[in-house]
Amino acid sequence: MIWDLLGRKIGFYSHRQSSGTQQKNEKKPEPEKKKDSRDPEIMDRLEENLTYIENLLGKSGDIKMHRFRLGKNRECPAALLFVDGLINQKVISDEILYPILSMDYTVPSSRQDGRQRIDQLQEKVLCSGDTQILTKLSQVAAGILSGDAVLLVEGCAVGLSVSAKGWEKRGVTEPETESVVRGPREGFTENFRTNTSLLRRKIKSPSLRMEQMTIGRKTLTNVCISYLEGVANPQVVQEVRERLSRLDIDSVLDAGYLEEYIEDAPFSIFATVGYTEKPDVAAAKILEGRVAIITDGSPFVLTAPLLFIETFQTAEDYYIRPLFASLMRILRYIAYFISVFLPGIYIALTTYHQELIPTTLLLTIASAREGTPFPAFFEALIMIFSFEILREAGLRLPRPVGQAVSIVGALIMGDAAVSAGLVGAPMVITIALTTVSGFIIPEQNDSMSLLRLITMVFAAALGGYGICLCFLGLLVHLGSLSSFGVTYFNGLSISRDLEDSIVRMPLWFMTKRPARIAKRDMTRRKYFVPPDPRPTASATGGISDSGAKGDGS
Amino acid sequence: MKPESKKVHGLDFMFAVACYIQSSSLLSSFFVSITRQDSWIIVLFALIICCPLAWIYARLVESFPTKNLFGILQTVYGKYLGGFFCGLYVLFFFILTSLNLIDLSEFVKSTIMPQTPLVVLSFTFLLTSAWAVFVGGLRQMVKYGFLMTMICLLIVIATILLSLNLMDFENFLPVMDLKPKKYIQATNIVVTIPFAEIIIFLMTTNHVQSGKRGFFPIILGGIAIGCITILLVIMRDITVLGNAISLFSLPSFETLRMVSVTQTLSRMEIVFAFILIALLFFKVTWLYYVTVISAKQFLRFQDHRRLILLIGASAITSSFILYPNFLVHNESGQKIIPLVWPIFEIILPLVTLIIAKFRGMTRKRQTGSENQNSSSASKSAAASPSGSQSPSGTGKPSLPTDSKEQSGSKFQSNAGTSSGTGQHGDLRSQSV
Repeated sequence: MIWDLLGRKIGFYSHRQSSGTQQKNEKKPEPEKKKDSRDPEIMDRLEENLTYIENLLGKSGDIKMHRFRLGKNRECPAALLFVDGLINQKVISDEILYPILSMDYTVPSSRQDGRQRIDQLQEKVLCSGDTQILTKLSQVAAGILSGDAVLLVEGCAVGLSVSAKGWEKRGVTEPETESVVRGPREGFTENFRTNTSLLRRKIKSPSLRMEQMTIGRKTLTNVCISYLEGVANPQVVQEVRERLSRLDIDSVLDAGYLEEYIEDAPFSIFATVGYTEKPDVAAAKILEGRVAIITDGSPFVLTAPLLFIETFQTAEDYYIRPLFASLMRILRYIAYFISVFLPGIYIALTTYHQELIPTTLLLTIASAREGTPFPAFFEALIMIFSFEILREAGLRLPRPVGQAVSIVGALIMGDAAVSAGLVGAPMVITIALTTVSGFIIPEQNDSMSLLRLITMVFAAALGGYGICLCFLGLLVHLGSLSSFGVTYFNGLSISRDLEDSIVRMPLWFMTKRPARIAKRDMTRRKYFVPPDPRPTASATGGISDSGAKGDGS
Repeated sequence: MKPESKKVHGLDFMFAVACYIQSSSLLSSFFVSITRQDSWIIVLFALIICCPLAWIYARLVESFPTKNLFGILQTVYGKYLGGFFCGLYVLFFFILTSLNLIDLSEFVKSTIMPQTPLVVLSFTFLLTSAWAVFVGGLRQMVKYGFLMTMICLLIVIATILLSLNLMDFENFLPVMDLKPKKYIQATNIVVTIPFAEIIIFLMTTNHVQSGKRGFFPIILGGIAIGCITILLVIMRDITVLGNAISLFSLPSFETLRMVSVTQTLSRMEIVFAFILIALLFFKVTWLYYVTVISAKQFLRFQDHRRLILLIGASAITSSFILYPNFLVHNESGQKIIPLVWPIFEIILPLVTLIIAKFRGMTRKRQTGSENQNSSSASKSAAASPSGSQSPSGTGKPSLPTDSKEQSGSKFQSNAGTSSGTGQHGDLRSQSV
């Protein structure tokens, strides 16, 4: 096994070296090699082009090559290439074929000005707003595979790609992972353009950037880095850009693929890249100076850098009034603590520090645990594992069967286990409280499950001292993490962004963007102005007069 | 990618100092047994004495902003004598680490884990500490200062409120009724054992961004916060326990033992014990970290991480052989340590500062025209009030004119107040 590992490592290094040298070698003779057979340019004979494309794509049934003739006298053969299902039939017929075939125009006849044929079509005939001249056959293939229609004309050494994208997609619905009582309910979808448009509609500022790139050798997935120019830290943006462009992977099927390749601490129990399904959350994070990464085919938008406290902030915190929001946020911290440490504390108390429990409660616990055969640690382990199994089963099963699982779980695991004397009732309560409070912070659910187990082991071995060590170790680990150059766990230290960490101050109080993320244009507004109910107060302050007013449609 | 900024924020540093001193509130028995009901006055005395001490430290650090304690010693005393002092300091830090480690283990053993062998406790604890030193540098270490300080203050205030019904304010009487010699002895103990131990922080000050007003307010602020906490703890203990306070080895623990909330939540002291463990973790890890980096600098290692486990193992071993038991430790804490530690904590820094002054190595703040020979000019920009320089500025024999330099320092102080630490170097290179 070691040899295997060593071999792989050597392979990795030699690959890196050779690829480096290859790049250097290849750079010089590039101009001559341009016309090589691997990436040919479009020829001026239509049939040759079509044969090449046919060979490249194989005999796939969904690839359509519609041959027809152009011009007044139908003298010039042409072909329209597209993939059935990826295009909108209406666009093909109304905007491309109808004008080409019905309008009265003459096609330039000589082969020398073949380019003019395409230019004429592009400028005078077609009724499409998004056209592009292609010069290579590989571009033609890529174009039709991504949903464009490509027009090839006899005698032209270029092709014309016309955007006709139109495939089946899900509409904008309410996200299931982050539902809110107050606040916008729309969510991202699997469609790339819908997602970018949702973001654009939230932030109409001209400085919102959407840098697009393609990742994945086989899937050729569109990925977009979105940030606010002038607010986001350029170093962070550059870092995200570099990490994404370094990727040399086969496929990107979900944003999770990217997350795993670009995160800072791959072996940490804490995620260092955030995700959201709600455009308003993504917009808020971009406005704070973060970078959002939109992946085609995934309704989850990644955000970086992620901070520890960020997972305790929900979208709704900012839509409801600050006092209650602060209370909820404190509750979340407490719930996190309970969810991680309660089983450990219970184990430590019943195993090592019985004197800490009030006497009456001690008697109750003792009588409940009298008949149970296992030590508290194993009891807790059994309960936690059975809960995780039930949860996983409920997650994957189809809805109607899921109900059966919950009945079995509630009745058998809860009631029967206690009455059969397998576990004590206090333990059931402990685990129930633990797991329920785990659901309050869904983003940290995975880290909590792992931490809980670690804490239990330490509590079983060293009692309260073990829990204390665990807590300190947790602090140490949190302190050592960083996300895209920003310290992960800093919200509890002084002098930085305290108004939005443990409590949520009123929105008019937060005059600055978070100092650790945004680096420029820090001021949201100059002074904090509490709402002024007097009628004389000028009401024009908040309305920006720059730019067109959105019509809200 | 680079971390957001290399320098540690001054306030964070202040809370680290405060937290370090707070964690010593456990060790009150050293001097409480001498001065009994007047111990709270001793803490105030110590605070007064610490003012000039903090000033000495601050001046020393500001004179050599790009150097830590060892760098200063070697600059002032030269290679061999400076090296000798550095060696002594390494030993001093190492012994402090061992002593605090064994304190902690004894504390845990006597309070929450009575049947666990001592070595298991020290070993697991030091392992956690070693991890902290390994993964985190100074930035990570400093980060928890604020959190811990606040938790500690909250807990102290809460326990004061809970023990209000037990308090008897006549326990303070009689005031100032003991022999003056005892006050001097106790003050010496308080100054040397918790307060002046903050000399360990001088090992890291070259990475701290002190802000406009220099290091003095930072160090004094840290001492003051720690001192107030200790004062509160001592006064609470005296009012609750009265004259019997000198009988216990852990007086605050005895106090909390008497606290009970409505009969159901008795044994509050365990909660306090956990907080103290966390605080002591902070303290031991700082000491450990300082020992490791000082040994690295003394032995000229490239990477301090190689030394972590070695020093940790030695610290555990020596913690078991330094004192045979807690009583001897307590005895030496009263009689020997207060006479030895001042050499490192007070005398050497003071002498160093004086010698540095006479050799013309220090500079007065905000004036730049007197010494323009090459040795001082290299530090000229560094002595400016912001005191926040990048280390690259040391070796350059630049000879800035007076006005230019002042404008440079102005720029720096502006940059220091705004958050952009990244701009620092740029502004500096433009202005100088």
